Parts: sequence; structure tokens; C-alpha cells
Amino acid sequence: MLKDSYFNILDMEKNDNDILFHIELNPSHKVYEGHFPGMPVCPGVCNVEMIKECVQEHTGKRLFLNNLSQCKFSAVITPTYNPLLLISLNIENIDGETIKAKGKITDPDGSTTFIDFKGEFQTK
Amino acid sequence: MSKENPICQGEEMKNLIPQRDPIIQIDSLYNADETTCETGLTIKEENMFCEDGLFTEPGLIEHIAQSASAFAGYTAMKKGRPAPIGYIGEVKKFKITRLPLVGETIDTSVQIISEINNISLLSAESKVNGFLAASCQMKIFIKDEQTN
Repeated sequence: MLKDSYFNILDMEKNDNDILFHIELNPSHKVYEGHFPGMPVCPGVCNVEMIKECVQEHTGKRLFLNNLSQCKFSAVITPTYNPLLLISLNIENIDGETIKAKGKITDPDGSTTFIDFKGEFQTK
Repeated sequence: MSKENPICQGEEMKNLIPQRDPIIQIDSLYNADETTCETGLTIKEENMFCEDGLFTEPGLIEHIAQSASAFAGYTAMKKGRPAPIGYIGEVKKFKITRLPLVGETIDTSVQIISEINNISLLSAESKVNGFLAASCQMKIFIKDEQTN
């Protein structure tokens, strides 16, 4: 839904269940026309969707986020100031149907954490 | 209050929330008192969060966040103030039972659990045709335009 329009995955580094996604945001995506007019900031929910699409990319499965246990939005992401992001996730495939992911979105040097995420997906 | 006679609906919702198209995810404020409100959204095919005829997870989360935002906007309007900008601070225990279909209407009830220093803690439930579709707890940071 948002991959290749709202964001691009530039690179993926895998280390067992720990995956690092190098992300580039598209500051001219239409969502910024409304969020907010004249003051573009990333909608938190778009970044949750971005995490889901990264997990889909890694697992190769279409997923449904049925339980977002906890998601903290610690800092606002502005696409013009923070076009490059890192998403680091620990992705666990429990039984082939349930996938658990835990991790965070940070700036490229890892000094600012924007979002902490813990959620559970079902395969479609 | 009644569904036939909402407090605010359609284009007028823009007086209560700072969001604009394409991310507006609320079309009705049915009822509001001190700590609770009821809102609605009918899913249109062109909604940016629709995929394969379904209204997807980020849309549901945003709908609940904007329900809280409209509630804050309505409360501000009654005091003669502009609609404040609210950011989601935290989402907890967001459980989605089923995704609404295009054409269906989501009915949401929001209950404010606490309001301290511009941080609102709320719980919400969204139903479709009387059946639970999603529930969650959410923390919203309200940016008060009057003090900035």
C-alpha cells in the first residue's frame, strides 16, 4: 500500500531473526497535503503500516496486524528533515501463521528513536 | 444525540480536526459529553487506506486517533478556541477482530480515562453492524495552539 510510494526500502541486512531495513521516505507523497497543510509530518499510522510492509518484505507473506501490543511514538518524523530512517526488527515466525515483530525506527546513526513497536501478525 | 441528528458531519468535521484530505478518517461526531464521545466513518472506495475492498489496519488506528482529535476540537470550539493539533503518543493493546469492508460504517466510542498536562489517555471501541471490529488504548499529545 505504501511501499514504493510513501517509502522505499534501500537495503536489508539479515542476521538470523534480526533484520535491519534502510528506508527512504518520499516527502512529496500526497498524504502530506493533509497531514498537515503547510506542515508535513509523518502520520504515526503510516509508519506502523511501513513496519508491517517491511515484515511482509522479509517473510514474503501477506500479513494482517491483529494485535498491536504496544507502539510508542517518542518523536515526530518530518520527511524533509528525516528522509532516511533505519527500521530494526526482531521477527519471529511462531507457527507458520503467527508472526511476532519487535523493534524500532531510528535515524540513520541510531541516536534518535522515533517509534518503538511490538506487534503480532497473522498470515492472510 | 441521535444518528439522524449528529453534532457535526461531513465537511463540517474540518472545523474540529486539523487533518485534511487524503488522511481524513472521520465523517461524523454523533455525541459528546465530558469524557465520552461517539463518532462514525463510512468507508469509501477511494480511501487511501483501502486495499482489495477492505479498510486496513492503519485506517482503523487513524480513525480512532481522529475521533479523539474531533472530541478535543469540539471541546475547544465550545470554549471559542481553534481545533488543537494532536499527535498519537502511544497505542496499546490494539486488537483488530476484522477489517471493515468498503461501504460499511464504523461506529466508534471513545472514553477519556485521564487528561494530564495535555496528554489524554483514552480507550476506544469500533464496531461494524454492532460487532466489535477493533479496540485499543491510546495516548494523545495535544498541542495547545493558544500557548504556542
